[in-house]
Amino acid sequence: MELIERKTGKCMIISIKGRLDTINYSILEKRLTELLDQNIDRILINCAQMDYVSSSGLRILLMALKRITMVKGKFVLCSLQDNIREIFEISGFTTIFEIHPNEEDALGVF
Amino acid sequence: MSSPVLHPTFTMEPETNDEAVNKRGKPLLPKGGLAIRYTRFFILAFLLVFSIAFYYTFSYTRAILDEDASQRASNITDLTISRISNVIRPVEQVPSTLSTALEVEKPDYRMILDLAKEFVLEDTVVFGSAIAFEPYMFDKKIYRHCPYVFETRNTVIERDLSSAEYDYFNKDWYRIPKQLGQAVWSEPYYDKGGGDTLMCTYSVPFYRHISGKRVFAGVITMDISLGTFMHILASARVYKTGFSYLMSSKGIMIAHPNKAYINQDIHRVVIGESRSQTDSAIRLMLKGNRMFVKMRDLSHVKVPSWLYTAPVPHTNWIFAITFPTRELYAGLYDFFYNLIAIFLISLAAMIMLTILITGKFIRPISRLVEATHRIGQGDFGTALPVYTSKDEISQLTNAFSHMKDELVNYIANLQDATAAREKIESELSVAHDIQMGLLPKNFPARDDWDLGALLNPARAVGGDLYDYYFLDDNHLFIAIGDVSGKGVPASLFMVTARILFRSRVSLNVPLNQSVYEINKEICRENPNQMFVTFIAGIVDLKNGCMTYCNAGHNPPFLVKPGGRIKKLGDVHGIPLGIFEHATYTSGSVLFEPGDAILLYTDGVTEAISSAGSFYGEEPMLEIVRHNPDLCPADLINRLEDDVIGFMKGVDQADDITLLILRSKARQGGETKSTDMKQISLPNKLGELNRLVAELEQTAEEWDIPPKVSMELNLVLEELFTNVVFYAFDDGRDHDILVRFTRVAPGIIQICIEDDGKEFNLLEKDTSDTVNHTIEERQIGGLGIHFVKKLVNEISYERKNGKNIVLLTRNY
Repeated sequence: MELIERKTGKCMIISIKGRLDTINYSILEKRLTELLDQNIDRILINCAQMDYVSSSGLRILLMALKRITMVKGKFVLCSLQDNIREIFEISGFTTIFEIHPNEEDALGVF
Repeated sequence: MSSPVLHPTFTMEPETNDEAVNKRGKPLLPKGGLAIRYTRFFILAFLLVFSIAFYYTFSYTRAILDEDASQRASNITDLTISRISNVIRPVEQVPSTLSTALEVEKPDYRMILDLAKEFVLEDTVVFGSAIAFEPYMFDKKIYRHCPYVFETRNTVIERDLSSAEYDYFNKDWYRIPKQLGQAVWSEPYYDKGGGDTLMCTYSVPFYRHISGKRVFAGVITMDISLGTFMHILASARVYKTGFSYLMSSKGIMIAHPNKAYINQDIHRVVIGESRSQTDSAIRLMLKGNRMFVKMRDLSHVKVPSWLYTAPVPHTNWIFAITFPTRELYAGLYDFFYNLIAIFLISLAAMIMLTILITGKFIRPISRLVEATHRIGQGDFGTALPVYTSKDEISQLTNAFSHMKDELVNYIANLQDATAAREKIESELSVAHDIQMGLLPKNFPARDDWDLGALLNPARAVGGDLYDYYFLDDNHLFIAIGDVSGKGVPASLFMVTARILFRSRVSLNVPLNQSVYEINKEICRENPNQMFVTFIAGIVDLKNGCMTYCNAGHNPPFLVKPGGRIKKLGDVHGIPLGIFEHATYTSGSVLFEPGDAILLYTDGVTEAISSAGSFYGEEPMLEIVRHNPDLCPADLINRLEDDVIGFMKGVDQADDITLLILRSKARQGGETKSTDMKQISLPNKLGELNRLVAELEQTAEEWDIPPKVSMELNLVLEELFTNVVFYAFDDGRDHDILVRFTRVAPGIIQICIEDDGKEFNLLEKDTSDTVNHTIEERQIGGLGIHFVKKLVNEISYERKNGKNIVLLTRNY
């Protein structure tokens, strides 16, 4: 997995590339925790190149969502691959996360 | 150099009050300024010197004057005393002669009296003479007899003083010579019933021989009028108000110009500085010493005076001459008053001159100070005052002007230098990005090999390098190197070396031959005599054989799966860039499944802690040994963290570079069946990668669509991690068996077996997992929820101490 970060205005865009699984979720966890600790509260996760996500990965996203919601920030996902989107649906995460079809739409909400 | 630009730190301050005064026109002599100080100093010095000179001259002159006055007084005294003696001598001689005549057997009294009468008439001083007899000595019948002759209006009258009222026996002039048996001068007295005037009497006793015995018979006297001495004294005077007087040895005034003091005691005439001084001085002078003393005279001038005294010979009289010291020093005082006046005038003139001259000297300095103020505030355009002479002020002005120019240059240079440095820094940052960009990253995910690498430069750009790339599908080139030195030169050298490797290494040429060529190339274009230690290797990914060449680099380590470590200590040549014709050999090493090779630079092993110790090889190997499950990339991050932690508080001295290549383990026996595959995995999280790789390969072989493959991946990951995390708590190694079975086209069955604690995931209620709000949602349980959702069938069995989960999925 590789994380590619970009900043647009006040919004931090993190593109996840590759697999987000039990072995490497800690990288994302560490990075998100860092950002949240820096009081960055507008984060868009671009999942266009995320091929795989396990429950461990989802937990991290959920953790981030909870923390950002507590400080009235925004944590938005976009560009989920179909397979991934199904996983989200199965887990019920589609009702919890704000998910946009593409980055452009997603940036509109910030 | 263009016109000077203000440096940012030079800010214009608001004008102070001082400045305002300066602009209006500086006062000629600022308070505390040099002119005032010099003037004050001059005046003080002048006063001091003058005072000393004045005092000395004054004292000296006065001493001379005193000496002179004493001499003069002495002379006058001698003269006067001699004149008095001239007067007195006959007065003493005549009665002595007559007394002799009175001592014969039958004296002729008449003749003697006539002689006395004649003397009284002739002598100017003597105005009377008496012959006083003891009772019955003149005649046995006559008790008293005292014939007296005295001069009045140039005739001599004779009378007898022998009256009871007068009683001459008790008069001093009779009694004292009788008692003393010698001639004496009396104290001055007013002789009432005798001379009837103020007088002194010289009395000479005479005797008669009766029956052989010398018997006192009477006294013959000479009276002198004290008025007589006034004439003598009147001529004995010094200075305007000086005068002289005569006193008896008892201190009674015999003659004094102020008649009121005649017959008065000397103590009423002079006083000294103190009572005792007065007494001692008077005692000495009455004893007949010649004295020159300073005393205050009360009789005449009542001011401090010099008093010169001397005894008059034959008599018991003391002559004194006195004159006010004021008069003695009058000329001296006049002289010094004039001197002081001249001094004060010249002092005033000198002050004015000093002020004018120092003011003139100081004005250029004041101007310079003003200019300096303005320059100090950043106004470098300020013109410095022009001063044409060649003195120190001119030198100061020139030096200051020079300093100003230098300052302007310096500031401009500093600005240029700062700008240049900023530029270099930004360029360095770009260079760093470029250098990092040159390094390959993201080793492609493979099921047979994995690689991780890292370069952390000590400065913006570094001299270390690593590289890897595929020479073809089955051959991987890896390299690590360390250029001597650091920073830009090292980094440029490093880039050159890298380009040479990329262009020269080929499968068609033996590696040591390529290295030889590269070294030659580097030596040829190496003006700065830099060198690089280097290890290059070509790995045959199929059979795990690596050919490598170590050109003077730190020996790499081969790490075996069980934690055994082998140092690859062979060196195949000297570092590159040192010697053009250096030759290189090569060696080889075989990777067995699970083996990893660790390449590093001395930036790792020679990292220095704040305590000054080296990091060394051991901590590095320990981390590698104890983390067999970490993928190379993670392992390298772990190593880097450890090294950086070790160097805490110390600047990183050298680049840190690490590269790990690992052959993935494949033990556990693959079932090469077309319809069934089995893999045995240790209960390590890292084994998940192998499991995933196996699944992916199976999915490919069995044409399982990616979506399904991914979902199965998810299911397997959840089940596997679940077992790894929760099934064992004995700390021992266990195997987890995973078996894929294609039960029919489009149906896959997966069996997972472990010998851990009994756990029936089907009994776990996961229905609540999905429908909670975000706040209520518990993390956990989700994985099992996935498993249940993503398979078509699922069963659990506990058999022979094993958990057996069986899944079926259609595709």
